[in-house]
Amino acid sequence: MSLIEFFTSSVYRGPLIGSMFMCLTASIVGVFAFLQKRPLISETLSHASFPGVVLGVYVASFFLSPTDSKLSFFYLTFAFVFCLAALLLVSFMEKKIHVKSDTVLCYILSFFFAIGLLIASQMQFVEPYFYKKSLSFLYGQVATMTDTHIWIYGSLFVFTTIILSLFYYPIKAYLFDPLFFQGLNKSSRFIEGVISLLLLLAIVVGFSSVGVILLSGMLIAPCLAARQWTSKLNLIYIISGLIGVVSALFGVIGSTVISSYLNLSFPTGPLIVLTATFISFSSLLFAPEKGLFFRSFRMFIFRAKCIEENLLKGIWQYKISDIKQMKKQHQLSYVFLFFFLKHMEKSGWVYKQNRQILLTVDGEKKAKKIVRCHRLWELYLTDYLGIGVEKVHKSAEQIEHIITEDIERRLTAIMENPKHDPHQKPIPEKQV
Amino acid sequence: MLNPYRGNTFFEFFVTLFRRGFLFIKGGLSLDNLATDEIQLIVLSLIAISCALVGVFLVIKKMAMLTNALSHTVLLGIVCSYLLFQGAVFGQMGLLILVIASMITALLTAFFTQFIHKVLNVQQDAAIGLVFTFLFALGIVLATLFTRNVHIGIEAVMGNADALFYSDIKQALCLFLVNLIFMLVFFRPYLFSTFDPLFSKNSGAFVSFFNALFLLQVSFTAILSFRAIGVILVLGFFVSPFLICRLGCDRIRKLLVYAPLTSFLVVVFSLALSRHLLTVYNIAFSTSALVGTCLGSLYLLAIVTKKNLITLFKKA
Repeated sequence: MSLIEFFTSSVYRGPLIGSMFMCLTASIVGVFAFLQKRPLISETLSHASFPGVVLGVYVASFFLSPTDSKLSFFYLTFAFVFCLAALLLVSFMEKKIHVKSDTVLCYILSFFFAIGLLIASQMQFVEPYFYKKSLSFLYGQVATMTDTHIWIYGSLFVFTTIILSLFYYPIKAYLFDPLFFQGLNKSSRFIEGVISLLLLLAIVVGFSSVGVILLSGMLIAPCLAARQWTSKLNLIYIISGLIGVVSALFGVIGSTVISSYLNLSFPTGPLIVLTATFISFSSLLFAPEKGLFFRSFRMFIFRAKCIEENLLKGIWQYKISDIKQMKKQHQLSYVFLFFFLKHMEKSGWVYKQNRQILLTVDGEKKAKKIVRCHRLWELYLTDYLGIGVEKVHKSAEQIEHIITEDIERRLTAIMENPKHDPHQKPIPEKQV
Repeated sequence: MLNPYRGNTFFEFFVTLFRRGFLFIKGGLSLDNLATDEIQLIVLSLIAISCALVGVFLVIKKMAMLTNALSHTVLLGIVCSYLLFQGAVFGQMGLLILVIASMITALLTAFFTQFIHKVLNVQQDAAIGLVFTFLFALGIVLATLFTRNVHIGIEAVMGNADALFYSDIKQALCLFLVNLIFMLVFFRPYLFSTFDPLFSKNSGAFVSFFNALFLLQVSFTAILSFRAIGVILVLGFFVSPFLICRLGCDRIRKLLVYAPLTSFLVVVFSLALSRHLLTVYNIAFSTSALVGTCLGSLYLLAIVTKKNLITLFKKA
C-alpha cells in the first residue's frame, strides 16, 4: 500500500487525517502547560476525562445504536465536563486546602480514574459492546473513524486555533511576565480561563487518537522537542505542531501495518506516543546549540583550546620543550599530548627539531598574547579591585583563555599600558 | 462450592465473615476453602495497608508524581524480566522475577528521569512526563507483540481483583511483611533522610542509599499490587489514606498507624458494599475500582465536613 492511498482511500482517510488533527491540537496546546512549568497537569486531566468518556458512552447506549456517529458528541461533552470538574477541584485543593501540587494531581488522577473504571465495570454486563467501545479510549482506537470524525476534529482544531490567535498576545504576556500583564490592568483570571479552556479542548480532542493514558505524552513531548530547536515562541508552536502531525502519521500507518501483519487490532496510541517521544529524545541529544552532543562537542573544543594554550605558554615561559617534561607539567597522557601537539604543528604554532618541541613565530606571538592577558588581568585584580596579590593567579589562569582582543584593549587603556604585573614580571608587548 | 456470601446484604456480609472467621479459628475451615470474597478481602487489605505505609513517606518526600511514573513503568519492568526469564508464565509469576522486575523498573525510571533532568537540562516535571509515557508506550508495544494479546494494556491499567487466587495471598502477605519490616527497621533513617537530609548526611547516614532503597520499596509495592489493582489505582492507594489522616494528625508515627488503619477499614467497607450492591441492586462493580472510589470520596467527604476519621477515632 502506498502512502497516498492512506490519504485517498475512504477506509484509511478517516483515521489518518482525524488523528493528525487531534495530535496537531494537542501538541500546540501542550506549549502552554510546558511554559507554565506544570506539564503534569495534562496527565491528571487526561485521566480525569476517562469517567466522562465512559459515562458518555453509557448514556448514549440508552438512545443510540453502537455504530451511530452521533456517539462522539456524547462522549466529547461528558469528557469535557469531567475534565473541567477535575481542573476546578485541583485548583480548589491547591489554593484552599494547601496540599502540595503533585499530591493533588496524583490524588485526582487516581480518584477520577477509579470512578471511570467503576462505571465501566457496571457497563460490562449490561452493554458489552459499549463497554468495549469505552475501553478502546484507553489507548486510542482510530480504526473506526469515518469522514464525519474528520469534520468534528477538524472544526475543533480550527476553533482552538481561532481562540489561540485571538488571545495570542495576552497569553504570551501572561505566560512570560504575569506581573507585567497585571500592570496592564488586564484580568489575569480571564486569561487563565482561556488557557484552561484550550487545555481542556486539546485533551478532549486528543484522547480518541492517543488514548487517555498516554495523552500527556502527546502534550509534553512535541513542545519539549520544539524547544530544543528554537527559542522563538511562534516557531515553537509551528515546530511542535509539525512534530505532532508526523507522530500521528507514523503511529497510524504503523499500527495499520502491524495490525494487518499480525492479524490483530494493534492500539494506535502507544505507537504515536513512541514516535513523539523518540523525536523528543533525539532532539534533546542532537539538536544544534541545545542538544547534548553539540554541547559536549563545544565543551571539548574549549577544553582542547585551553590545553593547547597552556602548552604554548609552558614552552614559551618555562622553556619546556621535552615531551616527558610536558607530560609531567600538564598531567596529560601521552595519547592526548601527541594528539594536541600534532594539531598544534598543523596550525603552525610549533615544530619538531631533534625530539624537541620549539615555537614558530606565530606560536611565540600567541604565547606572548596569552601571557600578556594573564598578567594584565592579575594587575587589574590587584590594582583596581583590591584583591590580594597571592590570590589572583588562579583567576587569571582561567580567564586568560576567555579574554578577547576588545577586552584586552580596554584593560590596556584603563591601566595606561602597564609594563609590570603585580609579581614584578614584565608584561609582553601587544602582539600585532 | 457455592460462595457463602451469595445473596448477602451489607450487614449479613459481616455476619458471614465473623461466622466463618470463628469456624476458621476452631479449625473447621481449611485455607483451600476460602471464598472469593475472602481472598479479595485478604489480598486487597494487605495491599492497601502496605501502600498506605509507603504512601506516608512518599507524599512527604514529594514523590507522588514520580511514583506515577514508576507505576507506569512497572509494565516495562515486567516485560523485561519476562524476556530475561523465558520460562515464566505471564499471568502468575514467581516472586524472584517480580523482585527483579521491580528493580529494573526503579532503575529505568530513576535513571532516565535524572539523566534528562540533570544532564539534558529539562524541568523535572517534563522529564517525568516524557520518560514514563515513553517507557509505558514501549512496554505496551512489546507486551502486545510478544503475547499477541491486545488486551494486555487494558488489563495493566484495570487490574483484575475479581480473578485472584490463593497464590496471590502469598504474594500479598510477602509484600505486607517486607513493607512492615522495612518500616520498622529503617524508620529512623527514612525519617531523618526525609526531614533533614543535610543533618543526616553530616551525622554519617547514607542519605542517597536510603532514598534509593525507598524508591525500590515503592517500586516493589507497585509491582506486587499490579495484578490486583493495576498501575493507576495504586496511586490512590498510596496517596489518599495519607491525605485523609493528615487532616487531623501531624505526627508521623501516628500517621503510620492511622493511614494503614483507614485504608484497611475502607477496604472492608467497600467489599461489603460491593456485595450489597450486587445482591440488592444487581450491580456488579469491579471491586478494586470500588475501593479506589471509596478512598477518594472519603477524602472529599473529610474535606467537606471538616471532620475526619481521626477525631472520630479519638471520640470512640
